[in-house]
Amino acid sequence: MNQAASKRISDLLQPKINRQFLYYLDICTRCGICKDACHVYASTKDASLMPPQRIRLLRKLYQQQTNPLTRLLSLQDKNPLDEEAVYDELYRMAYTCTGCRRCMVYCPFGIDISWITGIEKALLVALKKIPSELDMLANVALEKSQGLKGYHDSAAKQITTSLEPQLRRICGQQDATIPIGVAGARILYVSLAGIDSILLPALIFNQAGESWTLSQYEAYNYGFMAGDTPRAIKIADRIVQEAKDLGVEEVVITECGHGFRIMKHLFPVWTNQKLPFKVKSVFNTWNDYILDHRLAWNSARITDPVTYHDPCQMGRNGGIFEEPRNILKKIVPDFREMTPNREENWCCGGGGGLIAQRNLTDYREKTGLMKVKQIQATGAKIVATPCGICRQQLTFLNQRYNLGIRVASVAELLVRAMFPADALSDFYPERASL
Amino acid sequence: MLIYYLLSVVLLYLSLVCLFGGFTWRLYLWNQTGLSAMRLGYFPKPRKQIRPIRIFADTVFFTQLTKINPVFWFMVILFHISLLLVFTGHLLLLIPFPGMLESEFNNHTNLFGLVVGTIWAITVVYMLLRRFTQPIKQLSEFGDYFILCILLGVIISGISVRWCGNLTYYRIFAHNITHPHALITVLASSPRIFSVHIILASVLFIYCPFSKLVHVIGTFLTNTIRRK
Repeated sequence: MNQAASKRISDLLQPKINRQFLYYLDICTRCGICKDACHVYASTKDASLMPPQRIRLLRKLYQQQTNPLTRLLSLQDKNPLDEEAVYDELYRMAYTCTGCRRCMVYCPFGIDISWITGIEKALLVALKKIPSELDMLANVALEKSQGLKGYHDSAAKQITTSLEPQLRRICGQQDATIPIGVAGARILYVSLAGIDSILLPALIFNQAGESWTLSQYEAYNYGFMAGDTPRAIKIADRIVQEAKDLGVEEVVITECGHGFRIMKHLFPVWTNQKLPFKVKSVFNTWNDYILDHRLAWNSARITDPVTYHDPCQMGRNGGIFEEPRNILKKIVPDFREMTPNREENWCCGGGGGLIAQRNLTDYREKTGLMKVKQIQATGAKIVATPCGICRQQLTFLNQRYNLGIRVASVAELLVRAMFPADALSDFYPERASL
Repeated sequence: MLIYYLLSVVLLYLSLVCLFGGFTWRLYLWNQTGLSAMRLGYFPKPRKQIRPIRIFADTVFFTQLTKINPVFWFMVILFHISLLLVFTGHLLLLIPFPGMLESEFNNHTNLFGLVVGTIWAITVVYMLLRRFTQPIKQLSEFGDYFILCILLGVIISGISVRWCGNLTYYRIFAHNITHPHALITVLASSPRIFSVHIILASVLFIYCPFSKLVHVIGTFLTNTIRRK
C-alpha cells in the first residue's frame, strides 16, 4: 500500500488505539492455539480465517507507521497492496467474525481478537464500508424513535386487540394485561420485536404478580452489530431515557445476548454514567420467581430431552450461565448439558451481525459444524437458548443438517411447563405439546 | 582476531542496553497509551480474593491449552522450564552454589546442563518444525523463524561451550562483565564456540524488545485484563 493511503488509515486508526490494542498486537506469538478454539477454523479448516489472520493486516498497517524497520521493509515491497484491496480484506476479516471470544478463553495470553476486529469495524464505519443490511437496520431502529407516536399507537393497538386477549385465554385471568408506559412500575421489560418475546414473558410476569411495564423499544442493537458505537449508544439510550422517565427500579432485558451485554456492561462505560436503575436479564428475574415459589408448573408437560446452548454474548460475554440452567432443570425432567459448555461453549456461528448478511448464508452453514456435532452428541430433541440470533442460526442449521431437533426459547419451555397444552393450542397450533 | 573479540564484547554490551532499555521503552510506550475503561475479561470472573492467583496461574501454567492441544502445552511448558533452569545455571556463574565445592558443582552441572540443554533444544526443534507445517506455516512470519533459529544456535553453542571449555573462565567472564579487557582475554583463551555463543545470544537480546518476545513482560498484563 502506498504511504499516503497507509497514512490515511493510520490517521483514522489513531483515535481508536488504546493500550489493550497495543498489547494484543505486540504480544501475539502466532502460536496457533486459537485456531482450534475458533468455530470458523475448526468447522471449515480455512486457514485464511484463523483468528491471528484477522488481525494480521491491521498489525502490518499499524507497524508500517510506527516501527521504522517495518516501514523500511514495506518500502522494499515490490507488490504493495492496493488500497481498496486492503479495505476489502479488513471488511472480510471484521464482518465474518462473530465476536464470540472463544479464542480468548484458550489463548495463553488472553488476547481478545474481537477487540481488534471491533476496531477494524470502527475503521470501516469511518470509511463508510459496512454491510448494507446492518447499516439499514441500524437506521430503521433510529427512525422508529423519530416517529414514535405512530409506532406506539400501532403497537399499542396490536397489543390491546390481539395479544391481551390471547394472554387472558391462556392464563385464564381476565384482568391480565400487557402494560405499556406505566410510570412507577417496578420493572421495565425490554422485549424483541416478535410476539413471542412479548406474550410469553407477559404470561410469566402476570403469574408472578409482577409490577411491570413493556418498553416501547426493542433490545436488539444493529449499531452494535455494525461496530458503530455512536449509533449503538443512540439506540440503547432510548431505553435508558424511557426507564428514567418511567422511574423504574429495574430494566429487565429479554432473551437477547448482546442486548443484555450492552445495557449491563457496555453502555455505562461508553457513556461514563452510573445508571439510576438495576439492569437484569429476564433469567435473573425468573430464577428469583422460581426460588420464591411465585410460579407454578408441571414438568411432566415437557417429555423430550432438552439441552441448553450458552449464547456467547449472554454467557461468556454477559455472565449469565446458571440462571437459565436452574430454570430448565426445574421444569424439564430430562436436561442434558452440551460438552463443552458455559464459557467454553462453541459459538453457533450466527452472531456479530452475520445472520443479517445475505451473502454469508453458506458461510454460516459451514461454520456451524462444530455446534451441530455438539448438539448431536447430546441426543437432545429440544435445544433451548435465550438468544434470538442463536435460535435463528440453530433453526437454520437444523434445516441444513437435518438434525431433527426443535429450537426453543427458555420462555417458551417455561410457559409450556406452566400451562396445559390445550391452553396453548391457539398460540402454538402446529405443535401444542412437546 | 582481536577485532573479532572486540566486536563480540561491543555486541554484548549493545545487546544488554537493547534488552533492558528496549523492554523499558516498550513498557513506556504501552503506558503512554490509555487503557480502555471497558472491562474486557470474559465471564465467569474470579472472586477478588483469588483473582491474583488466577492471573498467576494463567500466566505460568496456561492449563487451558491442555484442552486444545496437550502435546503443544507440554512442549511449551518444557521449553519454559528449561529456559528457567538454564537462566538459573547462568546466574550460578556469579553466585556459588551454597554448601557445595566448586569442583563438585561443576561435575553436577555438566550432566544437568547437558540434559536440560538437550531438552530445550528438542522443544525448539519441535516449535520450528511446527512452523513448517500447515496451517501454522500460513500464520508464521519471518520473525517467528528467525527467533527459533537464533535460539537453537544459542542452545547448541551453549551445550558445546559447557563441554569444551573451562567453567572457571566462564565464571571470570561473568564476574568481569563491566571490564572489556578481561572479557576479551577470556574470549581469546576459550574455544571459538564461546564467542559464537556470545554473538548469537547478543543478536537475540537485541531483537527481543522489537519482537513478539515482549510477551515476557506483557503476558502478565494481558492476563490481568483477561480476569478483569
